[in-house]
Amino acid sequence: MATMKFLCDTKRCIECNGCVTACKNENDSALEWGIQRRRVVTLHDGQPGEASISVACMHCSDAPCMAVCPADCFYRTEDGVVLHNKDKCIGCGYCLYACPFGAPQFPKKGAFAARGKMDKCTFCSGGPEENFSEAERQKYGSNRIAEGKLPMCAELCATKALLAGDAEVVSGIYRERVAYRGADNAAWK
Amino acid sequence: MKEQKPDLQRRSLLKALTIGTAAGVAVAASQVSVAQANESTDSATTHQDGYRETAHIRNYYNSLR
Ligand code: SF4
Ligand code: SF4
Ligand code: SF4
Repeated sequence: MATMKFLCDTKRCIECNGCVTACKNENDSALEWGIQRRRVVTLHDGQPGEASISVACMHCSDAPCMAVCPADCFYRTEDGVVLHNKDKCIGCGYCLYACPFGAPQFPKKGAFAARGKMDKCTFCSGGPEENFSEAERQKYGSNRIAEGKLPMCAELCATKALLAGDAEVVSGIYRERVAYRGADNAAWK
Repeated sequence: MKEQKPDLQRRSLLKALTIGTAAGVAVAASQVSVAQANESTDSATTHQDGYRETAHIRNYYNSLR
């Protein structure tokens, strides 16, 4: 069984935010105002050695969000994708504190400053609702995995910096790249 | 007071433009539905909902090397 992973090749990321936009567009039906499932972080901006990396949920093998959620919202699919159930979510925000990547997002508006239901990257594979159902589209966005495709953010990355798919294939491709360009240009230097 | 007459020429230009884009969208939509039809036959043969290496995914992997 394949395990899904993201890998961002920092030597190729040009901070264009195309992945962020692609995600917004693909999952728009599920995204409340202000929610952004993916973001691009730049280190040493404008200085020598500048590097950018695109981050969303990393679909952790031993996911801290899953461990802390008091409402037991999270589950892992057969493909190793961490998904959550918005119907169970009580909006407590624990997952956001637990997540090392700041992946969980909360709607910015709401009565009495209530957080509302958490939203995060689904690896473009929908949620607990039936595949391709209207409910799934409204709550979780697209389900490209069921369509036999991969995440929109990665498929649309113009420089092929953001890689997604079977962890073994993706890491193999990255290894080939590093072998080609040499260790000095591996990732951050 | 100057009589305010709508500039009909401008309107007809806008109209022509919108018809043009609508037609463009219709063409694009029909192409998308063809693409989706191809894709669904692709997945229908495998009868699976999870990840599987479809032709689409293989093409993507090949584009990364
Ligand atoms: S939300 Fe955060 S902790 Fe949970 S799987 Fe994603 S990256 Fe890991
Ligand atoms: S905000 Fe929702 S998903 Fe996150 S820990 Fe609380 S109940 Fe669970
Ligand atoms: S996998 Fe899908 S939901 Fe996750 S960041 Fe990429 S486009 Fe957004």
